Amino acid sequence: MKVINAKLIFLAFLFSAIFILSILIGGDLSFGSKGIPEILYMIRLPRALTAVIAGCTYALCGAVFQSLFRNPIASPFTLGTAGGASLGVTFYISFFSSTGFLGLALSPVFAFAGALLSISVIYMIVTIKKNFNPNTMILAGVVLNFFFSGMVLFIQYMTNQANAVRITRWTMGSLDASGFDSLYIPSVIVIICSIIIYSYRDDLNLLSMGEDISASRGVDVKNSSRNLFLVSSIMIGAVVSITGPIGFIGIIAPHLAASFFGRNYRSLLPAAAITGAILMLICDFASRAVLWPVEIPVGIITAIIGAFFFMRLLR
Amino acid sequence: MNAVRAEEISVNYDDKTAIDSVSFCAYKNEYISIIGPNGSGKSTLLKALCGIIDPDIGSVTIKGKKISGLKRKELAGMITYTCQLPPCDFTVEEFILMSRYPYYRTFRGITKIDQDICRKSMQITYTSDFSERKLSDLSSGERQRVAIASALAQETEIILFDEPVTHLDPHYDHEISNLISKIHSEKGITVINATHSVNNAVKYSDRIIALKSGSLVFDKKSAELESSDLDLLYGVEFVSVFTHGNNKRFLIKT
Repeated sequence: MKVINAKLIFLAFLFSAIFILSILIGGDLSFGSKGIPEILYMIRLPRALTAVIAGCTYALCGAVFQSLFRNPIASPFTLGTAGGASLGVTFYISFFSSTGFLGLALSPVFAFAGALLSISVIYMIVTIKKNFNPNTMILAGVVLNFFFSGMVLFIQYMTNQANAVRITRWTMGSLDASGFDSLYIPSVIVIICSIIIYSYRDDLNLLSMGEDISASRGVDVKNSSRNLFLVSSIMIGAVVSITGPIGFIGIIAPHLAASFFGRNYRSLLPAAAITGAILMLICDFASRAVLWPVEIPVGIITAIIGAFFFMRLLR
Repeated sequence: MNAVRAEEISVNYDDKTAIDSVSFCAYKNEYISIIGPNGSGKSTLLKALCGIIDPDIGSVTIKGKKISGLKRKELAGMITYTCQLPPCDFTVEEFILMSRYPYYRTFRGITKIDQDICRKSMQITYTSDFSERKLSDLSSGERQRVAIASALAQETEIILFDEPVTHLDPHYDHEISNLISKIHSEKGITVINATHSVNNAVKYSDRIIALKSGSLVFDKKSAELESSDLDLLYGVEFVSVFTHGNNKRFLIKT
């Protein structure tokens, strides 16, 4: 236990260092007429915070889904949650974005509605069958994901060109936050949801051992899984609405954290959250640095790194 | 005194009836074995007894309380269920500590009491030596001992065992059966054991309950079991033989 605590403290230090570095390092500090402090405060800091929020969310939800589905590759993406959120935002961009200021605040609502839609469909499949098999749920999620991508492509094809470009750009994922304003609500949501998820740490441990063992040890399987699904969808909806879908962190971060901290969710949850944040900061840095001064969408970086990680997982 | 009572419980999976109107009662500190062919509903009955599955008809009561009205944590403090553990990345100690779940409170860490109880359960089941090893690195016999330790750590008065010796070699079969018998007699735990081993059932249990196609076939004292009972149950002919200690055992005739 003490070793794990020490490791966690080390991880937290590592995180702080990378966080500060990611704010300080970067070209063009003499950007326009703004001074250095403005750039740090108005552009770099919100961006780094977005990365942290997104990284934590994807990692935590990945860890939660891996336990609920007893499957190492379950993530908000394999299960269609992020796909649903994407569909929500795509829908919003094509049909409601012209509603102006009021519309701006609606994007997270659409993302959340989409995430909730996907989770409800999967959850319905679970509750209809008495003896549910997590693999059936995963397959349902994969199918749902295809459906959502199809719908996104359909909307993208039918909408006007300007919207189509916006959708394409948005689905690549980006950490370009427009200042602090767009961060307040998602941050609060993510913090509250993370605390709720942490309060389910023992449930998550047992749920990963299967329904029979968890139920006999006192876990209210239906309630706990439903709440965890709901909280995860809210988080994913909140984050996807500001960053777009950024894949693979949800799979990589929990596994990477588990290889140092073990599978016990009491330590895995905080470790995975910090690891997710660190990975996201690094990927964001890479997305700015690889083709400097041109920036590539961070989703592309995480996907490429994720593919290599997957190969390692398969070995 | 009644420990568990099942009153005319029926469980259906989709269209199939898994348990059909089964009633029986286990008394405090009794050792009951449930026997029956594959698919006869033994596991389903155990799961219905501890509330993992809600029966479609009928009710289960533990110490006079209907379990459908109890909170899961409350129920988990009274009865537990052990089955084959899946291989996983938890260490033995981590897994056994998870059984303290009914006693955990939100945002409270693991207490010293939890750790002591965990340590004692490991001592009784001889699992202390590999407490730091992962469940996936253990043999089936060792993992079964861990399953029993985790059930003990839950501190319930009733433990349900779901085929604890299936897939085990004769050495581990003997060891695990003795271990279950030991916790039954030393800790006064009510044991209900679903098993394919008729001779273990005769050797260790007070009473044997037989299920076939979801229905109760017989419920009798293990000393009164006859080979004709088994013929009917399994559809093959059995003979009874006697060991040196004049204990009755059963073999398939041909």
